[in-house]
Amino acid sequence: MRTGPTVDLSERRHDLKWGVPVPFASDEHAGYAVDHRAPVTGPADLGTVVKARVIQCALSRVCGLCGLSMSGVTTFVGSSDEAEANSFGFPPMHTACATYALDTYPPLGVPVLGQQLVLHEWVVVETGGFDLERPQERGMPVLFHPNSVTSRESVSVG
Amino acid sequence: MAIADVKEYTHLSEEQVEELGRELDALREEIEESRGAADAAYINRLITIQRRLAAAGRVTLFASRYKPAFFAGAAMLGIAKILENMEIGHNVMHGQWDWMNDPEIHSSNWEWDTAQPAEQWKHSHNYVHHQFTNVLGHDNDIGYGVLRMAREQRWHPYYLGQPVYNALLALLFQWGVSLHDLDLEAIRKGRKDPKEMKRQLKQIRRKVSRQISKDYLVYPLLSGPAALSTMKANAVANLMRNLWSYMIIFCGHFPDGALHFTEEELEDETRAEWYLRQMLGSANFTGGKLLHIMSGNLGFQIEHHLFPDLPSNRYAEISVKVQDLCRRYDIPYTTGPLHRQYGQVIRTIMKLSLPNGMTSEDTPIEPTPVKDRRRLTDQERPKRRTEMGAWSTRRTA
Repeated sequence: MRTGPTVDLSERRHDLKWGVPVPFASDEHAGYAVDHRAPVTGPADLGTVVKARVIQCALSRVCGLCGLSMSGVTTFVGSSDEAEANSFGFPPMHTACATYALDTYPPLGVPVLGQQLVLHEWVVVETGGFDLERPQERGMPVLFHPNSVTSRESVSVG
Repeated sequence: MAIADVKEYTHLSEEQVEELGRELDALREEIEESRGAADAAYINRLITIQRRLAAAGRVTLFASRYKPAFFAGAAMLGIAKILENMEIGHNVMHGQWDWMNDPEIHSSNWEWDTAQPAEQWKHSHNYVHHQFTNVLGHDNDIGYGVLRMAREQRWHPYYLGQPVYNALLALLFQWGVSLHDLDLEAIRKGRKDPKEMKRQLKQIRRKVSRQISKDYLVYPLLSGPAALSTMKANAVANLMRNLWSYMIIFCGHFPDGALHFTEEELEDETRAEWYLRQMLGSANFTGGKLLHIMSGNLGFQIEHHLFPDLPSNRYAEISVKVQDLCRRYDIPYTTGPLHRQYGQVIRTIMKLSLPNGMTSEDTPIEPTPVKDRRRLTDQERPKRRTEMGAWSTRRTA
């Protein structure tokens, strides 16, 4: 697996049920990266992505996990179908955040990181940039299309 | 007023709106597929020119005690700053060149030559302004929290001073923009997260110190006996950039024809409707190639708002096709010479310094009820809960 700088998620809201940080893109309480006013009311749906936060990640170029500015390599994680279609639903992350996310969330055994199903095989794609696809119809997801892929790796989890 | 009620396109059926969206999608795809070496060469060439110009300006200012060197150096440095902010920095931070995979010319890494930290610009501009374009109460660029730019904004005697505030904003533009993402209104009303404010203030302090040190300490001291005149010339260069960028930015959304929207429409917007809001809320200006480069290709503001992450050097060719679409679908395409567009902006600023009853509208539109609006925080902007298949009205923060 890749290595990278330490991931600091101490400022992120934590999910009460699983005891894990709620990804920025899944946190409907998140606005800025740091938000102490957000109440911790119960378990978050770790598989859901919040459209407003996803758009914010895309436009403001912030990480889908930690909510901080992107720097260095842009990394997407998703299913093999998503990788095949070059079309990801979870926003880009720092490489270190992507590593942390795959170490932390899939072992919970519930759908995570924008997935509707529990995945045991994940694909990690590193890219220079991406193109954003806004939902064509109401209820459809926001999609990211990596446009300058430098590496692609399958990862087994659990 | 919902986007679907905007009379400029109520003549279109839902199917036509969706068809227009598909045509714009196809246009985007065409550019994505054809971007390549020529585009990369363009931005690399421009960065080289900008850096040489900046270096030439700085070197010339070593002799700034002599008037010709003072003016030549200040002019070169001012133009270099304009190029860096407008055509390079602004567009790089939109991710227009990320596809090149160049770690330097990349939205994640570029830090521009102005007082606002790049990270805060990418929030206040790339997200808040581009996502909520011209939506009253959401888009903080409408008057920058200082000016009344729409008749729907409630009048207050404070606005009588608007012509003066406008002049100050133009002169001090980089400093005004540096505070933009702080959201001073939220701070004043105690709605800003103190920890986030502290974090942002620290970033601003660091960036401002760097900018001041560079232009008013390090380079003047390097000029030796010409230190004082170099400092003055640097101030002139910054002033040039402030006035120019202010004018270009204000011409993007405030000339006649650029519409404002209300927040209700955000809750029910398809991609095609989002395209339409961008087209109707933006205004272009006409001019030669040099003018467009100096203005960061924001003379193609409509095209920029439709496709903010496509390379700016392609906006001219995109604009031909967008104009054709507007003709075919009978949608307004707001454009005109720069002097006329800016003249309309100034007229709007003057008129809206007075109560609505004392002035007339320049573009007759359906009357919209006056509402007391304030800037929304990110927490208050609408959120879609996809698992519900509809917009949630739940307020949690």
